[in-house]
Amino acid sequence: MSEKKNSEVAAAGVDAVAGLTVASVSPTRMAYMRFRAHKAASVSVVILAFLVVYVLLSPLTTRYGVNEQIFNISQGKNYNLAPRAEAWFGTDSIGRDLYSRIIFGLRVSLLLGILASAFSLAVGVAVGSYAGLKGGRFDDVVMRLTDVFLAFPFLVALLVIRNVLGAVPWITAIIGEPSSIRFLVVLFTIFGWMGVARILRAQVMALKEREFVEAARAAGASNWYIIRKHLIPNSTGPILVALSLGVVGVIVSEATLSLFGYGPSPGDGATSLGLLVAESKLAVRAGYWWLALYPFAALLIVTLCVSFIGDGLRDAFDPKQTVEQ
Amino acid sequence: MKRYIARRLLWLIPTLLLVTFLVYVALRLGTNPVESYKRANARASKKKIQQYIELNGLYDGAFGYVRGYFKWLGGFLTGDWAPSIKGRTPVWPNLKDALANSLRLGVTASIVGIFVGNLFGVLAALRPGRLRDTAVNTGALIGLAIPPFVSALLLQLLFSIYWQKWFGYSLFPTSGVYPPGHQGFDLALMLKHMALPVVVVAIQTIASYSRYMRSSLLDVLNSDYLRTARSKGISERQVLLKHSLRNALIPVTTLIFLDIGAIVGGLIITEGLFEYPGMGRFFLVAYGNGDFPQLMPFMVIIVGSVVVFNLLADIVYARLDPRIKLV
Amino acid sequence: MSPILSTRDLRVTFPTPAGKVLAVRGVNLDVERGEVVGIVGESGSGKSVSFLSIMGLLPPTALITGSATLDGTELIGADVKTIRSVRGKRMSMIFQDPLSALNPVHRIGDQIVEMILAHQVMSKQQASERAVELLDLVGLPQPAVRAKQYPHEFSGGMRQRVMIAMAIANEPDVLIADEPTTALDVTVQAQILDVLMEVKSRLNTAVVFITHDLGVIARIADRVEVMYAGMTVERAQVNDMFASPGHPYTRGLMASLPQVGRQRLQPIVGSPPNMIAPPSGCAFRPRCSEATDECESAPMTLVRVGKTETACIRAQELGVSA
Repeated sequence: MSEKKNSEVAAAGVDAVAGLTVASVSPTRMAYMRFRAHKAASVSVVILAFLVVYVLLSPLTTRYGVNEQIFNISQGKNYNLAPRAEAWFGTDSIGRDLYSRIIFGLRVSLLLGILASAFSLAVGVAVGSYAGLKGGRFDDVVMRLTDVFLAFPFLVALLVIRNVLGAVPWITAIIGEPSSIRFLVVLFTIFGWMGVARILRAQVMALKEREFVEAARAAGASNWYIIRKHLIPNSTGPILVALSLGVVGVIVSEATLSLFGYGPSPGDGATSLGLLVAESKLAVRAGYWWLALYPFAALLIVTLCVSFIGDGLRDAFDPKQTVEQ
Repeated sequence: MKRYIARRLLWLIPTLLLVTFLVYVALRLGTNPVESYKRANARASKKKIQQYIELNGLYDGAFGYVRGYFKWLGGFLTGDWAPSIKGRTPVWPNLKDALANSLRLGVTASIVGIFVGNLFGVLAALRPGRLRDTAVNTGALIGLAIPPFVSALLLQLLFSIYWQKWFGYSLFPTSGVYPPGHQGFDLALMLKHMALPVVVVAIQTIASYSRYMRSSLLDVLNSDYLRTARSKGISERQVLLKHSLRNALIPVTTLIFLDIGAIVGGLIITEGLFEYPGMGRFFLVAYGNGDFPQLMPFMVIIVGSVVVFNLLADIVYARLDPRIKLV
Repeated sequence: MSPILSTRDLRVTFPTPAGKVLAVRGVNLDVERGEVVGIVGESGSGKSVSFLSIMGLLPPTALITGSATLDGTELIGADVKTIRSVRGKRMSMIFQDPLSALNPVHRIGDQIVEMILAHQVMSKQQASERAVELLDLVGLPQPAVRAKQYPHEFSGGMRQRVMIAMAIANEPDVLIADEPTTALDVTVQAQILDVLMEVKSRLNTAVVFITHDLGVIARIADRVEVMYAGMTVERAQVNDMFASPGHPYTRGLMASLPQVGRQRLQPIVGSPPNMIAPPSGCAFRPRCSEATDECESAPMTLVRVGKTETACIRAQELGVSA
């Protein structure tokens, strides 16, 4: 990028004329410094990192199996127990330890979120940057398509597409039944890539008028070369923001689907945050607050941390919008 | 301008035809109407099933889809709608009530949310970097990070279930528009039932509008023309009203129109959790049953409202911003 | 006769996370009635900031000290009412980029009318007619039609004419033109300068012309102030400065000007100083080929040497011809 050249020139200037103080700081380092200045984002990174490590170490950090009842029925009532020493977060309607289940659930939800966002990102970056650079018919079609999809009420579109994908035998043969994790990853990717593509396209449209891209083009560089070497590195900020918000979007969508009974059934050995939230719906009516509170807390920690991180990244890469005091 | 609107209105027709056809194909593929009918009416005779297929034009094959679509379209336009697969109840009366209920909830929440959200956004942008700004910004971030089902369930837990436990009565009901068995119109009762769902929707609306308004107004406040306006010696009030707000409201107003277009189908989570008999619940029930005759008209209303409000947003945008040329 | 606009020890400081930026460091300047003063300097020399501070157009975080008086009225620290009565009426400003300086959603005529009605008592109808007259005065063809159009329907030069029409609407005593021709084509530049000069002679307005273009200065200014690192480093009548520049920086600026018959342009080495910690003594010292040890403690005060006033302590020995 051009900043690099400038700082080289400036460095040469310092050599030539002693006494000139021109601090040379790389753009990445400046972004890092701005991110560090966003306290909530920095704290969120620490919390989220801790949470992810904690969840990854699940065989060590859990206390019971995902479907294990905490003690035998004969020893007394073991279901719908309020939090206590044997079960830190209480037990659910059939006596399973909520604390352990939340950790297992988080593991599945995070995995789903990260996989779907990564795929969305790959597709979105490819389509968006190509559309932005190429323009013309391809661009028109892609933008119209995403326009229509994004204008639609999200859940309606999600459920309708879910049905369509689930009804076509050769598709389910590849991506699994609608209740499988694989299916959900594909479903969320179908919805996730459009937002990323639009961001990338806007970014590329702005960047392609800039001199360094024109120079590369004049030097005979191919579209893909320009995308790889110039456009993607210069779009790091928006991409990171989109990625972080994408993970949260998927986790929340999974929970929403589960709430209405269209979520994953991850099999005997697992659960998901969404399923725990869905179970809490009934618990709320019955007044078992812990069954709602702890899954919500887990979900909120993830969504809040990622939102703050996203905000911090926006500050770091697009300082225009923040006014420092 | 008039010619542009006329042209866009003319374009509406093919757009709607195309989108409803795609929806038709998606629903027929996805819900498998014949199977759903058999499931809902386990003892239906072969003749009854054949009747159902004929009535809805559920013909097989690629050409059958096209023929079926036009058969459905003809029926839809002439008001000759096929009844629901469950109990052969007519679709329109239920759909109409659902639409009215959703609009009441959505419009109330939007008015509150848009007004408060924009107010917060303006207050934040006028003191950038100060405590007020940080508070609005952080609050909006948190508001957006709370999924609607979390706020819905927490509000129910607090104001209904635990209120009942602590004080012996529940402050707000958790479901419906009226208590079960209630007859006739009662405004106070209705508002009481609407309170919690409105709060859930409004939290999201306030959060997103305060962020949007803040960033839109900040852009304007940092613009050169605002400096020019100040250099004229007019009052700060005039600068704010005639220049800052006037310009900052252009993108916000466009967004308002787009959001209104999405209200009718966009409250599914809230309506689902509060068992509020609106469009969202209508959809969830019909979707669960694979009720093709109910789903098609529902989708037409959703599509129509999205498309029409998109057009309105374009027109309003051009109205407010002279730089936009409509041709 | 006393000067219409004068500043004494004007200082502007911007607090930033990296430290305090000393943008203007004690500017003393006098503008006589009806005179055209050119303010020259590189970007970041504090030339625009000085005048924005006088107009009260800097963000509230800017720290402004010193004094600036317009016909005896103190402007620095004055109340809102005083500032408002001066802005647009007794002193108005033209900005660099006429596209972004005009509000895109209001008609040209309305934007001028707003300026008139802010300070004069008349009906909206009268103000509209006056706006059309003003547009005619700055040489806009079909002024009545154009008044009803929006900024984006104008070319760059036409927009700048509109800005001038707006700026002179209340016949101000001082017109501050902040690089008004920088964003324009060369041929259009010349036209705009002509319009400005014609307006100036008609209204006998003092014009402060901020630019980095010495060619423009030579063409229109009576007097020049050269600014560097937030201070004035040279002050002279325009002819005297071109004949014998007193400060090495001024000479550098002139050497970097293209001239017929000259083979190569000579740029000034290095870049402007870091204004968070400007060099001690003469701020130009690190870039100056004539610098000696004594420059490290040189006070940057203007001293008369021959026909110019310069802040260079070595001006005499470097042979500024009298």
